Amino acid sequence: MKFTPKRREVRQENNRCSISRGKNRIPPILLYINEWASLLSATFMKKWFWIAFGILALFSFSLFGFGFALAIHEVVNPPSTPLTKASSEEESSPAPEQGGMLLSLGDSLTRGTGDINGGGYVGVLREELRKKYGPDTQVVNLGINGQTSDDLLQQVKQPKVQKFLQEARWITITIGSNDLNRKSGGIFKIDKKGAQQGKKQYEKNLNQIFQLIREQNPEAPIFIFGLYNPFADLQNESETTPLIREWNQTLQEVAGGFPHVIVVPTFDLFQLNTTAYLYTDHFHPNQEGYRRMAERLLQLLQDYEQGKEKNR
Amino acid sequence: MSEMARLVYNELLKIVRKRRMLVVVLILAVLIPIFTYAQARQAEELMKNVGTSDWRTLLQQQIVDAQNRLASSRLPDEWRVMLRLQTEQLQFYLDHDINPTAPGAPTFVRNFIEQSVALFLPLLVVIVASDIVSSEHSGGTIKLLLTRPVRRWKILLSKYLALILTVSLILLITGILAYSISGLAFGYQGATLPVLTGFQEQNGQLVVDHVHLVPQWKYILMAFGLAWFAAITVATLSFMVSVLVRSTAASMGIMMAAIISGSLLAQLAPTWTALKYLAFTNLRLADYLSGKPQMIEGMTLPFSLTVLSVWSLAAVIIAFAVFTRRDVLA
Repeated sequence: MKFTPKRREVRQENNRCSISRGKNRIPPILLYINEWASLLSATFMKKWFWIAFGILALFSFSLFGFGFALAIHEVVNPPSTPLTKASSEEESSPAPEQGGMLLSLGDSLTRGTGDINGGGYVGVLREELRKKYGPDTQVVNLGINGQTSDDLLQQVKQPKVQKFLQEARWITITIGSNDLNRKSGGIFKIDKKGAQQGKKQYEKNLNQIFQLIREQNPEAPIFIFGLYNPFADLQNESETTPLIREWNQTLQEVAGGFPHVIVVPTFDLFQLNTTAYLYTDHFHPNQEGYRRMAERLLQLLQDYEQGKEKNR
Repeated sequence: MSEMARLVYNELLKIVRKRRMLVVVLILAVLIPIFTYAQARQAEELMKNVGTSDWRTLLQQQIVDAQNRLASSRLPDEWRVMLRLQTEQLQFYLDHDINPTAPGAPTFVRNFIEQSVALFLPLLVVIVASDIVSSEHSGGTIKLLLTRPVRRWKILLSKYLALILTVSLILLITGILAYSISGLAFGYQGATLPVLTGFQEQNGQLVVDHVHLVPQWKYILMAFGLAWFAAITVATLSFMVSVLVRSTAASMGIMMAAIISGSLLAQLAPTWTALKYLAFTNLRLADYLSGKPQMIEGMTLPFSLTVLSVWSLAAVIIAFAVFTRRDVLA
C-alpha cells in the first residue's frame, strides 16, 4: 500500500493512460480512477488480500447456502402458527352448508323501491348470504311494485313460481301494506269498515299463500316482514297505529299456524325516528331503513341455520 | 486437492485482475445510492401524506380498527389469522418505536434483494461469468492454459468453482453495500422487525394457513439464500454459453437477451403456461417468501428450484462435454 512518490511515478510511466496524458486527451478524473485501480491491483498481489478474499468468498458461499436451506425449509414445511391451530379447531364444527337459493316475494319493499342503490333489503341479503354461504348462493327477487295479498296469491299459483318455491332454501315475503293502504282509503280519511273487511281478506289470502308455499316446499323457512307505520310521525298517528297493530296481530296469528314461518317485526324500526329511515316519498324505507330490515332478518336466518345444524 | 485449490486461486486471480469485480462493485456503489435516494423520497412523500408527528396515534388507530374488525362475527377465519398477525406486527412497531413509513437499512436491503433477484443481480453475475472461458479464446491464452499438465475437466471445474465463489462474494458485497449505504439515509435499526411470511398458493388462491412472523434478519438471510441460488443458476448458464461461444461480447449479449426476455415474457404472456419451464421465468424466488403471486399459474418453490436445477445440470454437462472434446485451434 505504501508507495514512495518515486515508485508511483515509475508506475505511472509504465501505464498506458499516463502515456496518453501527454496528448492531453484524458480527463484528470479518469486518470485518478486509473491510478486508484493500479493501486488496488498492487494490493491484489498481497498474500493477505488473497487469504481474506478466499475466506470471505467461502464464508459468503456457506452463509447463502445456509440461508437457502433455511428458506426451503421455511416455505416447504412452514410451522403452523398457534393462531391457525385455534382456528382449525373451530373448523371442526361442521361448516355451514354452502349454496342454496333465496326466493323473495312481495311488493315494492321486496323490489327495493326507495333504495338509491336499488337493491333494497334483498340486495343487502344477497351480499351477506354470499359471504356466508359461498358465491353460489342464488337470489331470486319476484317482488312486484304495488302488489297486494290478492296479487301474491295469484302469483304463487303460477307454475314457474311454484318451481322456484320447490328449489328455495329460504323464502322472504313482504305483503300487506298495499292492502292496508287501499282498503282503509288512505291516511286522511280512514275507512274503518273498509279496513276491517280488508283485514279479513288479508287473513284469508295469507292462509292460502302459506298453504300453497308449504305444499310446494315443506322445509324452507318463510321470513315474512311485519307492517310498519310510515305515518308514525304525523298528527293522526293515534288513528293509524292501532290499524297497523291489528294487521300485524293478524299476521302473527296466521303465521303461527304454519311450521317454519317466522314474522320479522319492523314496526319498532320505524317507530321513533321515522323520517331518518324513510325515502322522500314518506312511505318506502330508504337505504338505511332497508339495511336495518335486512340485519334483523339475517339475525333470525342465522339462528334458524344454527338450530338446524344442532338438530342434524 | 491442493492442485485444485491452486487452480481455483489462479482463476480467482484472473477474475480480480481483469477488474470484473471492480466493475461490479462500482456499479453497485453508484446504483445503490440512487435506489436509496428514490426510496427516501418515496418515504418522505408518504410521510407528508400521513403526517410525520403523529404516526404513533395513527398506528394505535390502525390497531384498534383491526381489533374491531376481528370482533366482527362475519369475518372469515383465514382473514382473522391474517388480521391478527398484522395487528401483532403493528403492535411491534409501536412497542419498539419504529415508524413503519420510515424503515431502516434492513428493510431497504430486503426490498432491494426482492426486487433485484430477477434482473439486476443476474446482470451483475453475467458481467463476471460470461467471459470466464470465452475470454481465454479471444485473448488467445487458452492454448497456454491447456498446455499445462492438468486435465481439461480440472481446468474447467476450477473455473466453475471460482465462478461460484465470486458469485457468492458479489451477493455478500451487494448486501453489505446496500446495508451500509442505505443506513446513512434511513438509520440501521429494524433488524429484528417482524416480517410476514409463509404464504402458499393453492389452485390460484392464496392460502394463509401457515402465515407467521419471522425476524427481519432471518427473512433477509433466506431471501439472500434464494437469490444466491438464482444467481448461481444464471452463472452456470452463462458459463455454458461462455464455453460454447468464443466471443465475450456475444456470450454477454446472449445471456442478457435471455434474462431480459425471460422476465418480459412472463409479464406479457402469463397465460402461456409452458413458459414456466424456462429458467429465466423462475428467477423470482424471493416472491415465494413474501407471498407475492407468481405471474404464471402452477409455480411453487419446489417447482422453480427443480426447473433451475435441471437447467443448471444440463448446462454443466454440456459445458464439460464440449470443453473436454473440442479442438482448440485459434
